[in-house]
Amino acid sequence: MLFPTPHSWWRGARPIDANGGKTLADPILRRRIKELLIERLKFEDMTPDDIGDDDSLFDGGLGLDSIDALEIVVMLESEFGIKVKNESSAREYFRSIASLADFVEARTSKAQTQA
Amino acid sequence: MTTWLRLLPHQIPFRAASSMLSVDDDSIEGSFLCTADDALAAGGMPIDVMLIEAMAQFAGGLAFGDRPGHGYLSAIDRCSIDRMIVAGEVVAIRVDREADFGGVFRFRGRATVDGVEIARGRFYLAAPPLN
Repeated sequence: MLFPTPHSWWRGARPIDANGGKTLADPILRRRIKELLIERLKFEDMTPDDIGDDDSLFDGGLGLDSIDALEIVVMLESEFGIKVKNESSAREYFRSIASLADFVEARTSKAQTQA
Repeated sequence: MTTWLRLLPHQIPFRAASSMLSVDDDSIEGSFLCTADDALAAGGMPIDVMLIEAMAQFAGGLAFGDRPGHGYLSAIDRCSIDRMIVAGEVVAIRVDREADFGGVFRFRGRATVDGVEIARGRFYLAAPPLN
């Protein structure tokens, strides 16, 4: 298996946003999420390079629907060990690959801190 | 929660969920009884369809059993049936919640007879609109 520890394989250097000092999710994590979406949502003939980090996932953009959102929820649990329980706080993170990666990073960092 | 079978919008002959055995936050178990005088089967409806309907109804019980209003079956996929069921068989059904988000729920249902799986499927239900 390429990534034997799916909940932490992407941890490593985290680039810093030069504008605000905000921590950005690892580009490797963003690419992995794109690969997972392509695989799970069966986007044939699409590659990670076809999806922009800030492209809208639902409204316009990739045009995902509520059924696809459920697949993302299942993907977050099976690949990253993240259970999406508080929907209202999670909803804003489902806007783009970048926000989804930030969500994964925040939740896994929190889990690691509590462990 | 135990009364949800009587509160289902589907009642005999359209109620396929015969009895509930157990339920928790993420799963529900019950049975579908295949009877010789099933009114819908007598009318020509394949009884297997009612088995799938039973799984969907149990999913509804799990998602909306303790809520006001009724949810809606939105989609079924990855559904397959291995063999016909016959009158007299008691089909055990287990439905697990896989995910819910944005008022839409996804469940995985499995049906067994004497411990042998004979049917399975994924069910999507939508919550009733908020008033």
